[in-house]
Amino acid sequence: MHNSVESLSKAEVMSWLEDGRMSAPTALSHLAGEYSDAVCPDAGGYAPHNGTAESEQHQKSRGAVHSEGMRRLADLVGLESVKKSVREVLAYAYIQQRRTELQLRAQPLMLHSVFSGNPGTGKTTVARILAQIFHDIGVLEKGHLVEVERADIVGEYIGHTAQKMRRKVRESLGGMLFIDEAYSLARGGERDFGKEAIDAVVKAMEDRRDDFVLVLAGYTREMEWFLAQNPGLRSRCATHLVFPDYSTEELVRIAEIMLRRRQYHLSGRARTALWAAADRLQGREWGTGNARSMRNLLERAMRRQALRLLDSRRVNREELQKLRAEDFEEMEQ
Amino acid sequence: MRQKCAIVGSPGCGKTLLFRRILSQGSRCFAASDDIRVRENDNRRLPGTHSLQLRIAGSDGARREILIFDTPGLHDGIESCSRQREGADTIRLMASCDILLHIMDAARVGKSPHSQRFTRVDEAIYTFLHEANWPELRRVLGDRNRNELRNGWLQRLVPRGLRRRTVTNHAAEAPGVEAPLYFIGANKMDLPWSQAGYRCITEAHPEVIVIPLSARRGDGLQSLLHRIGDTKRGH
Repeated sequence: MHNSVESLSKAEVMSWLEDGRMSAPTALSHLAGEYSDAVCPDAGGYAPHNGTAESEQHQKSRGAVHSEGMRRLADLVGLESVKKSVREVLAYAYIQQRRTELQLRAQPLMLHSVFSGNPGTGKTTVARILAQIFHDIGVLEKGHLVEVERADIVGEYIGHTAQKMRRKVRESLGGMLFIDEAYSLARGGERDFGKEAIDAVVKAMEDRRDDFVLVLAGYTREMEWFLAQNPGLRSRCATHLVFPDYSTEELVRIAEIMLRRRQYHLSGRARTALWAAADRLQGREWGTGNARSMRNLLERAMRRQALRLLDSRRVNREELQKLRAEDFEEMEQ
Repeated sequence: MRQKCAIVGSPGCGKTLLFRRILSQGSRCFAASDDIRVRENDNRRLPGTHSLQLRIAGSDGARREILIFDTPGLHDGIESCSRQREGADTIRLMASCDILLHIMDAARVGKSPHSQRFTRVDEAIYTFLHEANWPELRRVLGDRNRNELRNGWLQRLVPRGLRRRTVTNHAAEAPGVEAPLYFIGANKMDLPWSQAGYRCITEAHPEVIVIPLSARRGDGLQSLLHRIGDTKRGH
Protein backbone atom coordinates (compact mmCIF):
# COMPACT_ATOMS: atom_id res chain seq x y z
CA MET A 1 0.00 0.00 0.00
CA HIS A 2 1.21 3.48 -0.73
CA ASN A 3 1.60 6.23 1.70
CA SER A 4 0.37 8.89 -0.60
CA VAL A 5 -0.95 9.60 -4.01
CA GLU A 6 2.26 11.06 -5.32
CA SER A 7 4.15 7.79 -5.14
CA LEU A 8 1.81 6.00 -7.55
CA SER A 9 3.50 4.68 -10.62
CA LYS A 10 1.86 5.00 -14.00
CA ALA A 11 0.81 1.37 -14.09
CA GLU A 12 -0.73 1.75 -10.65
CA VAL A 13 -2.62 4.81 -11.76
CA MET A 14 -4.15 2.69 -14.49
CA SER A 15 -5.17 -0.03 -12.09
CA TRP A 16 -6.67 2.55 -9.71
CA LEU A 17 -8.64 3.89 -12.62
CA GLU A 18 -9.85 0.42 -13.53
CA ASP A 19 -10.81 -0.33 -9.96
CA GLY A 20 -12.92 2.79 -9.78
CA ARG A 21 -10.72 4.43 -7.18
CA MET A 22 -9.86 7.33 -9.41
CA SER A 23 -11.72 9.25 -12.08
CA ALA A 24 -10.48 9.57 -15.64
CA PRO A 25 -9.43 13.25 -15.41
CA THR A 26 -7.53 12.61 -12.20
CA ALA A 27 -5.78 9.66 -13.78
CA LEU A 28 -4.82 11.78 -16.78
CA SER A 29 -3.40 14.47 -14.53
CA HIS A 30 -1.39 11.87 -12.63
CA LEU A 31 -0.02 10.47 -15.85
CA ALA A 32 0.90 13.98 -16.87
CA GLY A 33 2.95 14.20 -13.71
CA GLU A 34 0.76 16.64 -11.82
CA TYR A 35 -0.52 16.18 -8.30
CA SER A 36 2.79 16.28 -6.61
CA ASP A 37 0.81 17.93 -3.89
CA ALA A 38 -1.40 15.28 -2.40
CA VAL A 39 -4.59 17.23 -3.02
CA CYS A 40 -6.95 14.99 -4.84
CA PRO A 41 -10.17 16.33 -6.33
CA ASP A 42 -11.87 12.96 -6.12
CA ALA A 43 -11.37 12.79 -2.42
CA GLY A 44 -14.48 14.76 -1.47
CA GLY A 45 -13.69 15.24 2.19
CA TYR A 46 -12.72 11.83 3.43
CA ALA A 47 -9.52 11.33 1.44
CA PRO A 48 -10.00 7.78 0.22
CA HIS A 49 -6.88 8.05 -1.86
CA ASN A 50 -4.67 8.12 1.10
CA GLY A 51 -4.00 4.43 1.03
CA THR A 52 -2.86 3.98 4.61
CA ALA A 53 -5.62 5.96 6.20
CA GLU A 54 -8.17 4.11 4.17
CA SER A 55 -6.96 0.68 5.10
CA GLU A 56 -6.65 1.60 8.76
CA GLN A 57 -10.17 2.96 8.83
CA HIS A 58 -11.29 -0.13 6.99
CA GLN A 59 -9.62 -2.49 9.39
CA LYS A 60 -10.94 -0.53 12.32
CA SER A 61 -14.52 -0.72 11.19
CA ARG A 62 -14.31 -4.31 10.03
CA GLY A 63 -12.62 -5.19 13.28
CA ALA A 64 -15.41 -3.53 15.19
CA VAL A 65 -17.96 -5.62 13.36
CA HIS A 66 -16.30 -8.68 14.78
CA SER A 67 -15.09 -7.55 18.16
CA GLU A 68 -15.93 -5.77 21.41
CA GLY A 69 -19.56 -4.76 20.96
CA MET A 70 -20.33 -7.84 18.95
CA ARG A 71 -18.83 -10.03 21.64
CA ARG A 72 -20.97 -8.34 24.24
CA LEU A 73 -23.97 -8.95 22.04
CA ALA A 74 -23.03 -12.58 21.48
CA ASP A 75 -22.66 -13.02 25.23
CA LEU A 76 -26.31 -12.22 25.75
CA VAL A 77 -28.32 -15.34 26.39
CA GLY A 78 -30.86 -16.26 23.74
CA LEU A 79 -32.26 -13.45 21.55
CA GLU A 80 -31.16 -15.29 18.43
CA SER A 81 -33.52 -13.43 16.11
CA VAL A 82 -32.40 -10.08 17.54
CA LYS A 83 -28.74 -10.97 17.08
CA LYS A 84 -29.39 -11.97 13.51
CA SER A 85 -31.12 -8.70 12.70
CA VAL A 86 -28.37 -6.69 14.40
CA ARG A 87 -25.73 -8.50 12.36
CA GLU A 88 -27.74 -7.69 9.24
CA VAL A 89 -27.96 -4.00 10.09
CA LEU A 90 -24.27 -3.82 10.92
CA ALA A 91 -23.17 -5.65 7.80
CA TYR A 92 -25.28 -3.23 5.79
CA ALA A 93 -23.84 -0.16 7.52
CA TYR A 94 -20.33 -1.48 7.09
CA ILE A 95 -20.74 -2.37 3.42
CA GLN A 96 -22.29 1.00 2.66
CA GLN A 97 -19.20 2.58 4.17
CA ARG A 98 -16.94 0.42 2.05
CA ARG A 99 -18.95 1.39 -1.01
CA THR A 100 -18.46 5.06 -0.24
CA GLU A 101 -14.74 4.50 0.12
CA LEU A 102 -14.60 2.91 -3.31
CA GLN A 103 -16.66 5.72 -4.77
CA LEU A 104 -19.78 3.71 -5.34
CA ARG A 105 -23.14 5.22 -4.60
CA ALA A 106 -24.21 4.40 -1.08
CA GLN A 107 -27.73 4.34 0.27
CA PRO A 108 -28.37 6.58 3.22
CA LEU A 109 -28.44 4.49 6.35
CA MET A 110 -31.82 4.07 8.00
CA LEU A 111 -30.92 3.11 11.49
CA HIS A 112 -33.96 4.27 13.43
CA SER A 113 -35.57 1.23 14.92
CA VAL A 114 -38.44 -0.11 16.92
CA PHE A 115 -37.74 -2.55 19.75
CA SER A 116 -40.75 -4.41 20.90
CA GLY A 117 -40.83 -7.05 23.54
CA ASN A 118 -42.13 -7.79 26.99
CA PRO A 119 -40.56 -6.10 29.97
CA GLY A 120 -37.15 -7.42 30.86
CA THR A 121 -36.36 -9.06 27.54
CA GLY A 122 -33.22 -7.01 26.97
CA LYS A 123 -34.34 -3.98 24.97
CA THR A 124 -32.30 -1.42 26.87
CA THR A 125 -29.28 -3.70 27.08
CA VAL A 126 -29.28 -4.33 23.35
CA ALA A 127 -29.77 -0.61 22.65
CA ARG A 128 -26.75 0.24 24.78
CA ILE A 129 -24.59 -2.35 23.01
CA LEU A 130 -25.86 -1.26 19.62
CA ALA A 131 -24.96 2.36 20.35
CA GLN A 132 -21.44 1.26 21.19
CA ILE A 133 -21.14 -0.84 18.04
CA PHE A 134 -22.39 2.01 15.87
CA HIS A 135 -19.79 4.18 17.50
CA ASP A 136 -17.08 1.58 16.84
CA ILE A 137 -17.82 1.29 13.15
CA GLY A 138 -17.95 5.04 12.89
CA VAL A 139 -21.64 5.56 12.20
CA LEU A 140 -22.26 7.43 15.44
CA GLU A 141 -19.85 10.05 16.64
CA LYS A 142 -20.14 9.49 20.38
CA GLY A 143 -22.18 6.33 20.81
CA HIS A 144 -23.86 7.27 24.08
CA LEU A 145 -27.39 6.31 24.98
CA VAL A 146 -29.92 8.88 26.12
CA GLU A 147 -32.81 7.11 27.73
CA VAL A 148 -36.03 9.05 27.98
CA GLU A 149 -39.59 8.31 28.88
CA ARG A 150 -42.85 10.14 28.53
CA ALA A 151 -42.26 12.52 31.42
CA ASP A 152 -38.96 13.69 29.94
CA ILE A 153 -40.37 14.81 26.63
CA VAL A 154 -44.00 15.66 27.11
CA GLY A 155 -44.47 19.17 28.43
CA GLU A 156 -47.06 20.79 30.60
CA TYR A 157 -48.23 23.60 28.41
CA ILE A 158 -48.49 24.32 24.71
CA GLY A 159 -45.07 24.61 23.10
CA HIS A 160 -43.28 23.13 26.09
CA THR A 161 -43.20 19.68 24.54
CA ALA A 162 -41.37 20.67 21.37
CA GLN A 163 -38.86 22.54 23.50
CA LYS A 164 -38.20 19.55 25.76
CA MET A 165 -37.99 17.23 22.79
CA ARG A 166 -35.48 19.46 21.05
CA ARG A 167 -33.33 19.51 24.15
CA LYS A 168 -33.34 15.73 24.36
CA VAL A 169 -32.54 15.38 20.66
CA ARG A 170 -29.67 17.81 21.08
CA GLU A 171 -28.38 15.78 24.01
CA SER A 172 -28.46 12.62 21.96
CA LEU A 173 -26.73 13.97 18.85
CA GLY A 174 -23.94 11.61 17.91
CA GLY A 175 -25.57 8.91 19.96
CA MET A 176 -28.79 7.07 20.43
CA LEU A 177 -32.11 8.40 21.71
CA PHE A 178 -33.98 5.62 23.40
CA ILE A 179 -37.63 6.36 24.07
CA ASP A 180 -38.84 3.78 26.50
CA GLU A 181 -42.50 2.90 26.52
CA ALA A 182 -42.96 5.03 23.43
CA TYR A 183 -46.61 4.03 23.12
CA SER A 184 -47.41 6.17 26.15
CA LEU A 185 -46.90 9.22 23.92
CA ALA A 186 -50.05 8.35 22.02
CA ARG A 187 -52.09 7.72 25.12
CA GLY A 188 -54.25 10.30 26.75
CA GLY A 189 -56.61 11.33 24.00
CA GLU A 190 -56.87 14.24 21.65
CA ARG A 191 -55.87 17.03 24.00
CA ASP A 192 -52.75 15.30 25.22
CA PHE A 193 -49.38 16.86 24.45
CA GLY A 194 -48.04 13.41 23.57
CA LYS A 195 -49.17 14.00 19.98
CA GLU A 196 -47.01 17.07 19.87
CA ALA A 197 -44.08 14.97 21.06
CA ILE A 198 -44.65 12.46 18.27
CA ASP A 199 -44.67 15.24 15.69
CA ALA A 200 -41.45 16.61 17.13
CA VAL A 201 -39.86 13.15 17.00
CA VAL A 202 -40.83 12.69 13.37
CA LYS A 203 -39.41 16.09 12.52
CA ALA A 204 -36.16 15.35 14.31
CA MET A 205 -35.89 12.02 12.47
CA GLU A 206 -36.11 13.85 9.18
CA ASP A 207 -33.89 16.81 10.02
CA ARG A 208 -31.10 15.09 11.88
CA ARG A 209 -31.34 11.76 10.11
CA ASP A 210 -27.63 11.05 10.14
CA ASP A 211 -26.83 12.62 13.48
CA PHE A 212 -28.61 10.33 15.86
CA VAL A 213 -30.35 7.01 15.99
CA LEU A 214 -33.82 6.85 17.43
CA VAL A 215 -35.05 3.73 19.14
CA LEU A 216 -38.69 3.43 20.08
CA ALA A 217 -39.11 0.73 22.64
CA GLY A 218 -42.10 -0.75 24.32
CA TYR A 219 -44.13 -3.80 25.07
CA THR A 220 -45.14 -5.81 22.03
CA ARG A 221 -48.87 -5.33 22.17
CA GLU A 222 -48.78 -1.63 22.97
CA MET A 223 -46.15 -0.94 20.31
CA GLU A 224 -48.30 -2.64 17.70
CA TRP A 225 -51.14 -0.32 18.57
CA PHE A 226 -48.85 2.70 18.74
CA LEU A 227 -47.33 2.12 15.30
CA ALA A 228 -50.73 1.45 13.80
CA GLN A 229 -51.75 4.89 15.08
CA ASN A 230 -48.69 6.54 13.55
CA PRO A 231 -47.96 5.09 10.11
CA GLY A 232 -45.36 7.82 9.55
CA LEU A 233 -43.31 6.51 12.43
CA ARG A 234 -43.61 2.92 11.29
CA SER A 235 -42.32 3.68 7.83
CA ARG A 236 -39.43 5.77 9.12
CA CYS A 237 -38.13 3.01 11.33
CA ALA A 238 -36.30 0.58 9.09
CA THR A 239 -35.53 -2.02 11.70
CA HIS A 240 -38.11 -3.73 13.84
CA LEU A 241 -36.55 -5.93 16.44
CA VAL A 242 -38.91 -8.24 18.27
CA PHE A 243 -37.57 -9.46 21.58
CA PRO A 244 -39.07 -12.86 22.35
CA ASP A 245 -39.72 -14.06 25.88
CA TYR A 246 -36.98 -16.20 27.36
CA SER A 247 -37.44 -19.92 27.63
CA THR A 248 -36.87 -21.68 30.95
CA GLU A 249 -33.38 -22.80 29.94
CA GLU A 250 -32.43 -19.31 28.94
CA LEU A 251 -33.77 -17.90 32.19
CA VAL A 252 -31.67 -20.36 34.15
CA ARG A 253 -28.57 -19.52 32.13
CA ILE A 254 -29.21 -15.84 32.73
CA ALA A 255 -29.58 -16.52 36.43
CA GLU A 256 -26.31 -18.43 36.49
CA ILE A 257 -24.49 -15.58 34.76
CA MET A 258 -25.98 -13.07 37.20
CA LEU A 259 -24.95 -15.19 40.15
CA ARG A 260 -21.42 -15.67 38.86
CA ARG A 261 -21.07 -11.95 38.42
CA ARG A 262 -22.20 -11.40 42.00
CA GLN A 263 -19.95 -14.20 43.29
CA TYR A 264 -22.71 -16.48 44.43
CA HIS A 265 -23.28 -20.07 43.52
CA LEU A 266 -25.99 -22.63 43.92
CA SER A 267 -26.10 -25.80 45.89
CA GLY A 268 -27.31 -28.85 44.03
CA ARG A 269 -30.84 -28.66 45.39
CA ALA A 270 -30.95 -24.93 44.92
CA ARG A 271 -30.35 -25.47 41.22
CA THR A 272 -33.46 -27.65 41.01
CA ALA A 273 -35.40 -25.05 42.94
CA LEU A 274 -34.20 -22.36 40.54
CA TRP A 275 -35.37 -24.42 37.56
CA ALA A 276 -38.76 -24.83 39.18
CA ALA A 277 -38.96 -21.11 39.89
CA ALA A 278 -37.96 -20.24 36.31
CA ASP A 279 -40.56 -22.61 35.03
CA ARG A 280 -43.21 -20.95 37.16
CA LEU A 281 -42.14 -17.51 35.86
CA GLN A 282 -42.37 -18.81 32.34
CA GLY A 283 -45.82 -20.25 32.73
CA ARG A 284 -47.34 -17.05 34.06
CA GLU A 285 -49.13 -14.33 32.17
CA TRP A 286 -47.12 -12.20 29.77
CA GLY A 287 -44.55 -9.84 31.14
CA THR A 288 -43.04 -12.06 33.78
CA GLY A 289 -41.10 -14.58 31.71
CA ASN A 290 -38.15 -12.32 31.63
CA ALA A 291 -34.76 -11.52 32.96
CA ARG A 292 -35.89 -8.75 35.28
CA SER A 293 -38.18 -10.97 37.32
CA MET A 294 -35.36 -13.47 37.34
CA ARG A 295 -33.11 -10.83 38.83
CA ASN A 296 -35.75 -9.95 41.41
CA LEU A 297 -36.08 -13.60 42.28
CA LEU A 298 -32.35 -13.93 42.77
CA GLU A 299 -32.12 -10.77 44.82
CA ARG A 300 -34.84 -12.02 47.11
CA ALA A 301 -33.02 -15.31 47.40
CA MET A 302 -29.90 -13.42 48.39
CA ARG A 303 -31.79 -11.55 51.05
CA ARG A 304 -33.18 -14.86 52.34
CA GLN A 305 -29.67 -16.21 52.44
CA ALA A 306 -28.53 -13.19 54.41
CA LEU A 307 -31.33 -13.71 56.89
CA ARG A 308 -30.49 -17.39 57.17
CA LEU A 309 -26.80 -16.73 57.75
CA LEU A 310 -27.52 -14.11 60.39
CA ASP A 311 -28.87 -16.83 62.64
CA SER A 312 -26.23 -19.33 61.73
CA ARG A 313 -23.08 -20.01 63.75
CA ARG A 314 -20.57 -20.88 61.14
CA VAL A 315 -20.28 -18.20 58.50
CA ASN A 316 -17.31 -18.91 56.31
CA ARG A 317 -16.34 -17.79 52.85
CA GLU A 318 -17.94 -20.84 51.30
CA GLU A 319 -21.27 -20.32 53.05
CA LEU A 320 -21.38 -16.66 52.13
CA GLN A 321 -21.34 -17.62 48.47
CA LYS A 322 -23.80 -20.48 48.56
CA LEU A 323 -27.50 -20.19 47.91
CA ARG A 324 -29.48 -23.11 49.21
CA ALA A 325 -32.79 -24.55 48.14
CA GLU A 326 -34.63 -23.08 51.11
CA ASP A 327 -33.68 -19.58 49.98
CA PHE A 328 -35.76 -20.14 46.91
CA GLU A 329 -38.60 -22.07 48.42
CA GLU A 330 -39.61 -19.72 51.16
CA MET A 331 -40.08 -16.73 48.92
CA GLU A 332 -42.87 -18.35 46.95
CA GLN A 333 -45.35 -17.71 49.72
CA MET B 1 3.42 3.49 -42.26
CA ARG B 2 0.06 3.31 -40.62
CA GLN B 3 -0.79 5.91 -38.06
CA LYS B 4 -3.24 5.65 -35.23
CA CYS B 5 -5.68 8.44 -34.57
CA ALA B 6 -7.82 8.42 -31.43
CA ILE B 7 -11.02 10.44 -31.13
CA VAL B 8 -11.44 11.36 -27.49
CA GLY B 9 -13.61 13.68 -25.41
CA SER B 10 -16.33 13.95 -22.81
CA PRO B 11 -19.48 11.87 -23.17
CA GLY B 12 -22.03 13.31 -25.54
CA CYS B 13 -19.72 15.62 -27.44
CA GLY B 14 -20.37 13.78 -30.70
CA LYS B 15 -17.42 11.45 -31.10
CA THR B 16 -19.37 8.47 -32.32
CA LEU B 17 -21.52 10.45 -34.72
CA LEU B 18 -18.37 11.97 -36.19
CA PHE B 19 -16.88 8.51 -36.44
CA ARG B 20 -19.95 7.26 -38.26
CA ARG B 21 -19.79 10.23 -40.62
CA ILE B 22 -16.22 9.37 -41.50
CA LEU B 23 -17.31 5.78 -41.95
CA SER B 24 -20.10 6.74 -44.34
CA GLN B 25 -17.63 8.59 -46.54
CA GLY B 26 -17.42 5.06 -47.87
CA SER B 27 -14.96 5.09 -50.71
CA ARG B 28 -12.04 6.21 -48.62
CA CYS B 29 -12.62 3.68 -45.95
CA PHE B 30 -11.48 0.18 -46.59
CA ALA B 31 -11.84 -1.62 -43.32
CA ALA B 32 -13.86 -1.22 -40.21
CA SER B 33 -14.73 -3.41 -37.32
CA ASP B 34 -17.62 -5.76 -38.04
CA ASP B 35 -20.17 -4.46 -35.66
CA ILE B 36 -20.10 -0.82 -36.67
CA ARG B 37 -20.89 -1.66 -40.26
CA VAL B 38 -24.11 -3.22 -39.10
CA ARG B 39 -25.08 -0.35 -36.92
CA GLU B 40 -23.93 2.48 -39.08
CA ASN B 41 -27.17 4.40 -39.11
CA ASP B 42 -28.16 3.82 -35.62
CA ASN B 43 -27.81 6.30 -32.81
CA ARG B 44 -27.13 3.96 -29.99
CA ARG B 45 -24.02 4.24 -27.93
CA LEU B 46 -21.29 1.88 -29.06
CA PRO B 47 -19.65 0.24 -26.09
CA GLY B 48 -15.88 0.03 -26.11
CA THR B 49 -13.41 1.17 -28.69
CA HIS B 50 -13.96 0.84 -32.43
CA SER B 51 -11.56 1.24 -35.22
CA LEU B 52 -11.75 2.28 -38.83
CA GLN B 53 -8.99 2.07 -41.39
CA LEU B 54 -8.78 4.91 -43.88
CA ARG B 55 -6.63 5.71 -46.84
CA ILE B 56 -6.24 9.43 -47.05
CA ALA B 57 -4.46 11.45 -49.67
CA GLY B 58 -2.41 14.21 -48.17
CA SER B 59 -1.88 17.55 -49.90
CA ASP B 60 1.43 16.25 -51.22
CA GLY B 61 -0.47 13.53 -53.09
CA ALA B 62 0.93 10.69 -51.00
CA ARG B 63 -1.59 8.28 -49.62
CA ARG B 64 -1.49 7.39 -46.02
CA GLU B 65 -3.15 4.69 -44.06
CA ILE B 66 -4.81 5.87 -40.91
CA LEU B 67 -6.43 3.76 -38.30
CA ILE B 68 -9.09 5.84 -36.59
CA PHE B 69 -10.36 4.83 -33.18
CA ASP B 70 -13.65 5.88 -31.71
CA THR B 71 -13.48 5.76 -27.93
CA PRO B 72 -16.10 5.79 -25.20
CA GLY B 73 -16.45 9.19 -23.55
CA LEU B 74 -14.31 9.88 -20.53
CA HIS B 75 -16.47 10.79 -17.58
CA ASP B 76 -15.63 13.48 -15.07
CA GLY B 77 -16.53 11.39 -12.07
CA ILE B 78 -16.16 7.81 -11.08
CA GLU B 79 -18.55 5.56 -12.88
CA SER B 80 -19.52 1.92 -13.05
CA CYS B 81 -16.81 -0.73 -13.30
CA SER B 82 -17.26 -1.30 -17.02
CA ARG B 83 -17.05 2.43 -17.75
CA GLN B 84 -13.91 2.70 -15.64
CA ARG B 85 -12.32 -0.13 -17.61
CA GLU B 86 -13.32 1.51 -20.86
CA GLY B 87 -11.78 4.73 -19.58
CA ALA B 88 -8.55 2.93 -18.81
CA ASP B 89 -8.51 1.36 -22.27
CA THR B 90 -9.09 4.78 -23.79
CA ILE B 91 -6.20 6.28 -21.87
CA ARG B 92 -3.92 3.43 -22.96
CA LEU B 93 -4.98 4.07 -26.51
CA MET B 94 -4.25 7.76 -26.08
CA ALA B 95 -0.80 6.85 -24.83
CA SER B 96 -0.10 4.77 -27.91
CA CYS B 97 -1.67 6.84 -30.68
CA ASP B 98 0.02 9.16 -33.15
CA ILE B 99 -2.77 11.66 -33.60
CA LEU B 100 -5.11 12.76 -30.88
CA LEU B 101 -8.35 14.33 -32.02
CA HIS B 102 -9.96 15.96 -29.03
CA ILE B 103 -13.63 16.65 -29.65
CA MET B 104 -15.39 19.36 -27.68
CA ASP B 105 -19.03 20.36 -27.78
CA ALA B 106 -18.76 23.96 -28.96
CA ALA B 107 -22.42 24.68 -28.25
CA ARG B 108 -22.02 23.58 -24.68
CA VAL B 109 -18.84 25.59 -24.26
CA GLY B 110 -20.63 28.62 -25.69
CA LYS B 111 -23.55 28.63 -23.33
CA SER B 112 -21.83 27.54 -20.13
CA PRO B 113 -20.73 30.10 -17.56
CA HIS B 114 -17.06 30.92 -17.63
CA SER B 115 -15.91 28.50 -14.94
CA GLN B 116 -17.70 25.51 -16.47
CA ARG B 117 -16.78 25.97 -20.09
CA PHE B 118 -14.38 23.09 -20.16
CA THR B 119 -15.12 19.84 -18.43
CA ARG B 120 -12.53 18.36 -16.10
CA VAL B 121 -11.90 15.75 -18.76
CA ASP B 122 -11.25 18.39 -21.39
CA GLU B 123 -8.73 20.17 -19.22
CA ALA B 124 -7.13 16.90 -18.15
CA ILE B 125 -6.69 15.69 -21.73
CA TYR B 126 -5.01 18.95 -22.65
CA THR B 127 -2.57 18.92 -19.73
CA PHE B 128 -1.99 15.20 -20.21
CA LEU B 129 -0.90 15.81 -23.75
CA HIS B 130 1.28 18.79 -23.04
CA GLU B 131 2.89 17.90 -19.76
CA ALA B 132 3.29 14.14 -19.72
CA ASN B 133 6.71 12.63 -20.09
CA TRP B 134 5.92 10.99 -23.39
CA PRO B 135 8.91 8.70 -23.90
CA GLU B 136 8.28 7.20 -20.48
CA LEU B 137 4.54 7.07 -20.97
CA ARG B 138 4.92 5.33 -24.30
CA ARG B 139 7.25 2.82 -22.74
CA VAL B 140 5.13 2.04 -19.70
CA LEU B 141 1.65 2.04 -21.16
CA GLY B 142 2.68 1.08 -24.69
CA ASP B 143 4.09 -2.25 -23.58
CA ARG B 144 0.83 -3.24 -22.02
CA ASN B 145 -0.93 -2.12 -25.12
CA ARG B 146 1.24 -4.23 -27.38
CA ASN B 147 0.73 -7.26 -25.20
CA GLU B 148 -2.94 -6.75 -25.36
CA LEU B 149 -2.78 -6.56 -29.10
CA ARG B 150 -1.17 -9.96 -29.15
CA ASN B 151 -3.73 -11.29 -26.74
CA GLY B 152 -6.51 -10.23 -29.00
CA TRP B 153 -7.68 -7.09 -27.24
CA LEU B 154 -7.79 -5.30 -30.55
CA GLN B 155 -8.31 -8.32 -32.68
CA ARG B 156 -12.01 -8.20 -32.16
CA LEU B 157 -12.14 -4.71 -33.61
CA VAL B 158 -10.65 -5.74 -36.91
CA PRO B 159 -12.72 -7.37 -39.67
CA ARG B 160 -12.36 -11.09 -39.83
CA GLY B 161 -10.58 -11.22 -43.18
CA LEU B 162 -7.94 -8.70 -42.17
CA ARG B 163 -7.43 -9.92 -38.70
CA ARG B 164 -4.15 -11.75 -38.75
CA ARG B 165 -2.35 -9.36 -41.02
CA THR B 166 -3.48 -6.28 -39.19
CA VAL B 167 -2.57 -7.63 -35.84
CA THR B 168 0.88 -8.75 -36.80
CA ASN B 169 1.54 -5.42 -38.43
CA HIS B 170 0.36 -3.65 -35.37
CA ALA B 171 2.41 -5.61 -32.98
CA ALA B 172 5.47 -4.84 -35.04
CA GLU B 173 4.83 -1.10 -34.93
CA ALA B 174 6.38 0.35 -31.85
CA PRO B 175 4.74 3.63 -30.95
CA GLY B 176 6.87 6.70 -31.42
CA VAL B 177 8.46 8.38 -28.48
CA GLU B 178 7.14 11.86 -28.98
CA ALA B 179 3.81 13.32 -28.06
CA PRO B 180 1.05 12.68 -30.56
CA LEU B 181 -0.18 15.44 -32.79
CA TYR B 182 -3.05 17.20 -31.17
CA PHE B 183 -6.11 18.72 -32.79
CA ILE B 184 -9.23 20.01 -31.21
CA GLY B 185 -12.46 19.40 -33.06
CA ALA B 186 -15.10 21.97 -32.13
CA ASN B 187 -18.21 19.92 -32.79
CA LYS B 188 -21.88 20.84 -33.07
CA MET B 189 -21.16 24.02 -35.02
CA ASP B 190 -24.69 23.84 -36.41
CA LEU B 191 -26.20 24.68 -33.02
CA PRO B 192 -26.77 28.13 -31.54
CA TRP B 193 -24.04 29.38 -29.17
CA SER B 194 -21.46 27.31 -31.00
CA GLN B 195 -19.83 30.39 -32.57
CA ALA B 196 -19.15 31.80 -29.12
CA GLY B 197 -17.96 28.36 -28.02
CA TYR B 198 -15.56 28.15 -30.95
CA ARG B 199 -14.13 31.55 -30.04
CA CYS B 200 -13.68 30.45 -26.44
CA ILE B 201 -11.86 27.30 -27.46
CA THR B 202 -9.49 29.10 -29.80
CA GLU B 203 -8.80 31.75 -27.18
CA ALA B 204 -8.16 29.20 -24.46
CA HIS B 205 -5.79 27.13 -26.62
CA PRO B 206 -4.23 29.60 -29.08
CA GLU B 207 -1.39 27.28 -30.11
CA VAL B 208 -3.65 24.36 -31.06
CA ILE B 209 -5.39 23.91 -34.38
CA VAL B 210 -9.11 24.00 -33.73
CA ILE B 211 -11.22 22.51 -36.51
CA PRO B 212 -14.88 23.57 -36.63
CA LEU B 213 -17.08 20.54 -37.26
CA SER B 214 -20.67 19.55 -37.44
CA ALA B 215 -20.93 15.81 -37.30
CA ARG B 216 -24.67 16.00 -37.76
CA ARG B 217 -24.49 17.92 -41.03
CA GLY B 218 -21.12 16.60 -42.11
CA ASP B 219 -19.52 20.07 -42.22
CA GLY B 220 -15.79 20.34 -41.79
CA LEU B 221 -15.24 16.65 -42.38
CA GLN B 222 -13.09 17.13 -45.46
CA SER B 223 -10.80 19.63 -43.82
CA LEU B 224 -10.49 17.32 -40.85
CA LEU B 225 -9.49 14.38 -43.03
CA HIS B 226 -7.00 16.55 -44.91
CA ARG B 227 -5.48 17.68 -41.65
CA ILE B 228 -5.11 14.11 -40.53
CA GLY B 229 -3.83 13.04 -43.91
CA ASP B 230 -1.19 15.75 -43.91
CA THR B 231 0.38 14.73 -40.67
CA LYS B 232 3.67 13.00 -40.60
CA ARG B 233 5.05 11.50 -37.48
CA GLY B 234 8.43 12.47 -36.30
CA HIS B 235 8.60 16.12 -37.30
